[in-house]
Amino acid sequence: MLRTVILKEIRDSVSTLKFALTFLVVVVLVISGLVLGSKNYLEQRGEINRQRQLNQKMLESQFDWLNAGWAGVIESKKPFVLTTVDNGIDNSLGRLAYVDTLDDARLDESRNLVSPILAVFGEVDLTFVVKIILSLFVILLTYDALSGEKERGTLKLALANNIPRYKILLGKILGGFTVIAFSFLLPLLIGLAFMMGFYNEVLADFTPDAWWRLLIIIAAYLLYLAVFFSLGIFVSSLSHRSSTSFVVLLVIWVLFVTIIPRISLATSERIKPYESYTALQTKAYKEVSEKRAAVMDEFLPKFIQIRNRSMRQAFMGGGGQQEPSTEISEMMTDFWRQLGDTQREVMDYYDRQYDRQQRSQIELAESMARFLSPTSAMSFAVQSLAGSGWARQREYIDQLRKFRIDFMNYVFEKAEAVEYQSMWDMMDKQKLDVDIGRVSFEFREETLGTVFSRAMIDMAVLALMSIVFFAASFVAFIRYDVR
Amino acid sequence: MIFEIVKKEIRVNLTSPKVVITYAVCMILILAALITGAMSYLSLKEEAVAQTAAEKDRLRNVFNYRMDFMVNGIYLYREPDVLSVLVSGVEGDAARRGRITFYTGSNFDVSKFNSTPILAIFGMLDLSFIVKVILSLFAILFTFDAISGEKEQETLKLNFANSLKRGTFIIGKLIGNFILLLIPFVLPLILGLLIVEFTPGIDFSSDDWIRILLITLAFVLYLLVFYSMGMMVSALTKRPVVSFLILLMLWVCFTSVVPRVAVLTAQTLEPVPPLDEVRKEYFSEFGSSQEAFMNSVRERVEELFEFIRAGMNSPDGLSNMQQMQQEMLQGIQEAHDVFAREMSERGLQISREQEMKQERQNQLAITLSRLTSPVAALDFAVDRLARTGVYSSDEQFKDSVDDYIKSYTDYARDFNRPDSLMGGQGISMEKLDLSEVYPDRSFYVAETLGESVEASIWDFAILALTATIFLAVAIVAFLRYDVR
Repeated sequence: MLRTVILKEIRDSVSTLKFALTFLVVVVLVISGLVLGSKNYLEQRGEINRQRQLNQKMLESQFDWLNAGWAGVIESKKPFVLTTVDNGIDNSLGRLAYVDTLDDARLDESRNLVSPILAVFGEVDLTFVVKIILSLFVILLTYDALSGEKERGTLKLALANNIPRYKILLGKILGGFTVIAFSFLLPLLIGLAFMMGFYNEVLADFTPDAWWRLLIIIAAYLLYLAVFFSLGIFVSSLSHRSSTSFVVLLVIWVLFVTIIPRISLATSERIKPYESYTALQTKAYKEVSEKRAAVMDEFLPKFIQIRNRSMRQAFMGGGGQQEPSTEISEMMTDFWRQLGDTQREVMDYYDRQYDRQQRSQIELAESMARFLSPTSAMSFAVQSLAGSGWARQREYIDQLRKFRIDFMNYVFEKAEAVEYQSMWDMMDKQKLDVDIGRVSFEFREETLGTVFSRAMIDMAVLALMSIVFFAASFVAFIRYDVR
Repeated sequence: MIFEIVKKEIRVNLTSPKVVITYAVCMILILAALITGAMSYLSLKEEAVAQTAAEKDRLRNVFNYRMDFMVNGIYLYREPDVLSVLVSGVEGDAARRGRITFYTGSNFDVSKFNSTPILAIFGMLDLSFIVKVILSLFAILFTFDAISGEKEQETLKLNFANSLKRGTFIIGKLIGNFILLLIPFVLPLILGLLIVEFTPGIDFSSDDWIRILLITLAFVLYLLVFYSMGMMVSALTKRPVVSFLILLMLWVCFTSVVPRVAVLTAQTLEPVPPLDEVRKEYFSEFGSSQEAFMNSVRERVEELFEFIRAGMNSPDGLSNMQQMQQEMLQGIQEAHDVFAREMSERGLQISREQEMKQERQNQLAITLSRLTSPVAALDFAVDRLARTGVYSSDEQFKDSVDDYIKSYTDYARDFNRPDSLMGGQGISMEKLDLSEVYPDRSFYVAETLGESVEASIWDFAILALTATIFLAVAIVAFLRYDVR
């Protein structure tokens, strides 16, 4: 009997115009999303080698290893192959890594910063299709699941048969969700087949690890759709007119997809405000100039004393002329080093403070958003898994900082190994001998376990939400007035 | 008669759950958006004022003139525009601090945290977003069953049992429902603006009020586009489900797909070479110029060697040694100057070319997206009018700072007279004259109303034209509609 209900539900949904139209739109968007993603990926992947060749050329042409260290290398960020599926916030993240001996390693020049027009409109990727199009489709499919059948009078006819209420609802749920899963998975398969035909080199980059991640991403998508599906059934089993349940669902959709993420940011800005980078820098400069003045105060009297002594010695012919001048030059070196150290220390302190405060604000906003909106939970889960969010960027910067130490060691090693050169040697100098392997940064992707444990909480929230809504709709339907 | 229909439309719909729910949602969201907008404006402004005060304080106590004033330069801060309360635009990303130094001209903060995309994760909640995404969705919700729904309920043919002209009926319906749609937008807007106006620290000038009126007009036109599109589709279809589905697809296309496609098209038609390729080109040129420079140095050194070798044999040859060495060094210096100048000019030229290519691409993207999507047209119009867009805020500030460079450099050069500086160490006995060297707020030349209107007039025209076409099609379609 259950099978009959399920089959009927599937037949009814698939034969409608709304299914045909949505299916067509989803297929087109999935394919174009994958194509754009693949193009983007290949372009970024190609940039890595171009950048490395450039680095080699630049380092080789440096005057000596000290200068080479100052010039440093610029690495293009390695894209993760799943950015073809989900672009996340990747366009807003820095994608060129600067490594040199002077400054801390950093990532800069995001795509959006270079061409801000991109930032105005989001990327059309697989996540967009699921997040916006399919969730709307789910609402269209479910809003009249019960209230519509009641309006048409078919609900009481169905219950005239010897079938318990919960079985009808179970049949509806299983049938309806099959249709939804089908209308997402089939276009996805078509899209992947399309990639196999035209972008096989992208698919070749899919490691087993990446395939696993993709599977979990698909699970997250389905869980997300399950939340909206169960919500739709629930609202439909609470209301008696399909137009009411439709408006309610649409408003909830708007809240989940657009409002709650924004409101959680606004709220966490109020709860955990932090000073802007500019304001902190002003403070830092003030502190630096105070400390600099203190260093000056300590330095000047000593300096004048030694200078006077050396002048006196020069007049008196004390013979120790050599000694004070080395003392002065040592003192000057020490003075400059001290000034530099103070400045770096203060700036680093304020940089870290900014980073910490901003991180805690974002974390608060994220945890609010993920518990209040399934859309946020899904986006965060997918971004962790596809490496298109914050987490991979942070990991990248951490590894980059470690690489910087290796880079510095290499440069200093080389610089020390160079024997003394006269000016004539330098004139005829050959290019620096650069081992490109030691100045290229290889990012190690995080393990599947780490990534999955990060995404787990979001997946759990999604699962919990759909279970709660399903349970609620069972209770509501058992008490539903079918007349 | 039209008046009767308008009244009927409003009366019938006003109590429906659809209208009640959407009104409540609009009320809350619009008020929340305006209040959060006002709060962020106030905190940004407070920050700018505090920064300016701190900078003035620093300049007053400049000790090492050369280091603190000429090398370090001065910092100028931009206060946010008061209309960012309504339309936040790119306010979060635009340059807020400009720096002028004596040796390097102007530069603008690209801090290492600029790439931290806190807004990219969550997005901004401002009035403009609410109109763009949510009210446009409500406009569809209000119209999708306006005609096809009445047909399904069979009330449509009853209307024409009376002596009612179809034209009168559809126009009455259009007006009535549009009023119904505008109420949840205009009422909370007025209420919110009153709250904002009486918030201490915020005051709108009369110029700002005109801008607010124009921005509101743009919003209304935008809603009219979606509203008339809804009516049109409803009059072209027989079943409300179908019309809703079509409208939803159009809504998704207009708000997210079409502008994206426009940007992609612009990228294909006006490609900008990636930065690393440009750098590569520059460095290969740099390498060959460096080679040439080194060769010229080598030649001179060889010459000197020759000379010394020749001088070894004749004693008076060596007497010119000093002069020869001097000449060689001077020659090397000159060659280096030429090399350095050429390379820096080439670098400037390359970056200018790159900027121009990027600018051409941006312009094409703007043109294409505003022509194909009302959302983009609205975005450009209100950003411009609120002076919070890329061109009306970010670029404007940069231009203003650049314009100030001359008066700063003149002052610094004047101040740099040797007699005013102790022993050439750059330590100044005189204090800087702040009124001379630090500009008051008027250095920032904001875009005038005329300029903003001129820049956004096309967007108004596009919105009005689209709405008119949709309305005309809706009316014609209804006149031919099979009401049975």
